[in-house]
Amino acid sequence: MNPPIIEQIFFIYFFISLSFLSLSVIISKNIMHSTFFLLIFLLHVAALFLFLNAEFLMVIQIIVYVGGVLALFVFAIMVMNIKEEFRHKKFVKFAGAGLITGFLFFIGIYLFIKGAKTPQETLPPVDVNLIGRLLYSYYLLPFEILSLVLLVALVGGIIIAKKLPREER
Amino acid sequence: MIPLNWYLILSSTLFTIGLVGFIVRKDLIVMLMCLEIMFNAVNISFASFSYYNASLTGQIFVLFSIAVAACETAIGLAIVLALVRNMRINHSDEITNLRG
Amino acid sequence: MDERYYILILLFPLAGFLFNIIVGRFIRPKWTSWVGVMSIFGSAIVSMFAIFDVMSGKTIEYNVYTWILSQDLKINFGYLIDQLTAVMLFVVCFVGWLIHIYSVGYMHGDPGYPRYFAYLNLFVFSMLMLVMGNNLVQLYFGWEAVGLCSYFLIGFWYEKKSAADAGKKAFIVNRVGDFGFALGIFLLFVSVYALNYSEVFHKIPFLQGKTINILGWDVDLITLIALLLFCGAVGKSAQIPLYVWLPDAMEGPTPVSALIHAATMVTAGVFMVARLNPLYGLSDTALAVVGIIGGITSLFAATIGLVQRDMKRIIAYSTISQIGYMFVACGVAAYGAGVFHLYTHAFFKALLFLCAGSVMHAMSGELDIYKMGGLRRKMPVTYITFLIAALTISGVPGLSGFFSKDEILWFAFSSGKPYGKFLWAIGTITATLTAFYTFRILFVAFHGKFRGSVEDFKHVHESPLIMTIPLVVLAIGSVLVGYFSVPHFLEPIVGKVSVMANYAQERFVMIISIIAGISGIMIAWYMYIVKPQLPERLAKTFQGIYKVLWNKYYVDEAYSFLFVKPTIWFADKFIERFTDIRIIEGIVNGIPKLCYNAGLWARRIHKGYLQQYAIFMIIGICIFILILLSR
Repeated sequence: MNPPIIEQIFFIYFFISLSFLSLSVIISKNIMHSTFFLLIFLLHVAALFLFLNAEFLMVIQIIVYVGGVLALFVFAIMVMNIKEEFRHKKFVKFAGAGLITGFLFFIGIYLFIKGAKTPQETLPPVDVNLIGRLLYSYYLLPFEILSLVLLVALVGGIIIAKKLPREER
Repeated sequence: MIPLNWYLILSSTLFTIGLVGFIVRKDLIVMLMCLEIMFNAVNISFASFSYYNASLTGQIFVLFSIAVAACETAIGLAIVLALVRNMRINHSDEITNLRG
Repeated sequence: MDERYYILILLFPLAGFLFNIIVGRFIRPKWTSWVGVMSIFGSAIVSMFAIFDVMSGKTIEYNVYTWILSQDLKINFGYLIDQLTAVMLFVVCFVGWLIHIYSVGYMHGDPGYPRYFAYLNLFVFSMLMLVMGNNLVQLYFGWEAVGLCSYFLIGFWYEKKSAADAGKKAFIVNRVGDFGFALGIFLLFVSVYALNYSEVFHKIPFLQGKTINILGWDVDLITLIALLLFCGAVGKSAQIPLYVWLPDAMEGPTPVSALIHAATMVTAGVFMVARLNPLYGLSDTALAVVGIIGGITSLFAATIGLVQRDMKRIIAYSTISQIGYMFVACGVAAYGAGVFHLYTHAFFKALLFLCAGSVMHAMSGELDIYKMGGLRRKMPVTYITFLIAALTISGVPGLSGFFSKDEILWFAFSSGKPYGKFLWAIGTITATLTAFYTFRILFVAFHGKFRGSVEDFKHVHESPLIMTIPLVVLAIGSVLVGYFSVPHFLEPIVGKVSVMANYAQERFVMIISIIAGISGIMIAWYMYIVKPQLPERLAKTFQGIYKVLWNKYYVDEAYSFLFVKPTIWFADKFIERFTDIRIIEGIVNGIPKLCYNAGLWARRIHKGYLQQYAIFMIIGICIFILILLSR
């Protein structure tokens, strides 16, 4: 088996599994099930990064997304005490319009990208060192601004979600 | 060698699924999860471009994208929390205060 | 003085107006009156320089700047000071100044004090623009502006409905005349393509004999222009048929009546005819019209004045009558005599009005002469100055009125015009009537016994010094100004009148006019002092005539029926109902309603569902992609 075929088999596996997982996130009735499907989805994406010679990204993805965002989701679901109402329809009234719009969108994008050419020169395996250097020289400004964004998100999140004092409740 | 197209099609498929999911579901938290799916689809696309153009810029961008997505999820969940707690709203079709 | 400085004559009153109208309210009334009086004083001083310049033979013409320049139409803003303007400047500035001083006392305590002085200054500015202009457009500007100022000043006490109505009437009737005036200017322009005096006078002789076709009739061009311009004069100078505004204009403050309706504005028509004398001289028909209208008006107004009871109204009719005299003079091409009478009339008529104001002041606003009587003991200065003015207007020899009136009657008699003797006869009869009604006022109001209550009589007092000094100055003026021979002074402008009679006839005319004046006085004496019951018995005997005269020949009622009511009806039915309410309001209300409804309809897109907005966003992106793909 030559490497290209193995690559392609893995890629097809990823394709199918990622699609199936994301569909499951949407379709499942139970929120905790959706959350777990999301977890597996994120891990698959991390693996895909590995294929693309982006080890640093893979690690970041797992740490931040799985370890941070997903944990946040689980906590939020836990705190909110959402009661499952099984009689409640889970789809919006205009679901059909949404599907059609999505479909049109996909066709549009497909027409756009089917002409993309594949260059032969691909990224060699890189050191994290290099990323660090880029980050602190060329992309210093966005990096600093990102820190501000994180600060704002932190403060904003706390303020929006805090419990109101007893008199206003 | 996997052609670039395939990665892009994968990315656009995931994006569309996330988009449709966002529009279609009523539960607010599931809507946020669909946003996550969209973010990840875009990250895949960036990373594949970075790989095929032999440039690290794409990866840097993914870094920023992940960071911002995390922030946005945090704020989104805070809002949902506030809605659920104060106005007892669980589903998106109950939020119609801005109805014109 | 350098000729450029003469613009100060115009600028002083204008500055006074602007100052008083803008800041007058916020400062003490005393200061506004000072500004008003001093600005006219400044004008008077500068005009003295101008008059001296003219008297030494110089004519000043100066263009300040080019106002309108459009192909053939070149209109400058400039001034022309020649002998005619000098006479007018003297009248306007000097008499105007005296009246301003009088007003300080008369209008004391009135809440509209600053506004009054502002308008009065604006009026003087407009009148000076009128007389100092060197082209017809400036004349028209001044013409309209004095009409506007007279509207302001007549309706000065605008809360009183009769005053506001009188102001409107003055302006509208003037408008009718001004319309003809404007047509005259337009016609003149398309005939000679020039509007400043020197060019026009140069080019008019070439228009002789030309005709213009109107509705199938061929009308002589020069006559038509002259008559159209005369329409304006009829309106402004209150001749038949547009005199009806002047008696009602007595609703305004008395100094206003003195300034505007005796000395200045109403004489603008005479000034215009004198200024445009080359034009009028070329058209015998126009001169005939001018003269005959003047003559008939003077007799007509004098007859109405015989039986009125309101002191100011009698004097108003007297004004109409005297201006008729001035037009009679112009009608026989004796423009100099007409302007001479304008000049003397300014003094004695202003004096008559100011005396009436003084009496009003003493009688707390009462003007009916049959409620007065015996005032001469309590108001000596007013009485003596009124007497002097009355003698002047009656043409007693030695006073100024005699000289000017006699000149007019002589020229009317002796000009070669076919209607000359007719006008002379009318003039002589009117002279008798004039003397009669003026002395009627004197005898009824100042002599005899007081006809009101005892408390009112106690209240009667002489006016303060600030009001009596102008009276005395004007009285002195009435006596003396006649000795300056204005017609001789004006000869360079208006030419000499050709006289078709001899010296003996001149003596004859003079004696007849003296007899006419004195007999008028005698008849008044007889009827009001010797036999005071005579007027009532005469009124009863000739009841029909009395009633017609008392109701001013029912002219006002006729106009109301013929013109006023139909116009109001038309305005209400058509303009208001149809155009205003339906069309204009329909559009003005309809457009906002349309916007509102469109907004209501467009609002329905927003249902409030978050995901619906997302769908719209995606649709937008799809469209975007399509556009990009299609390139």
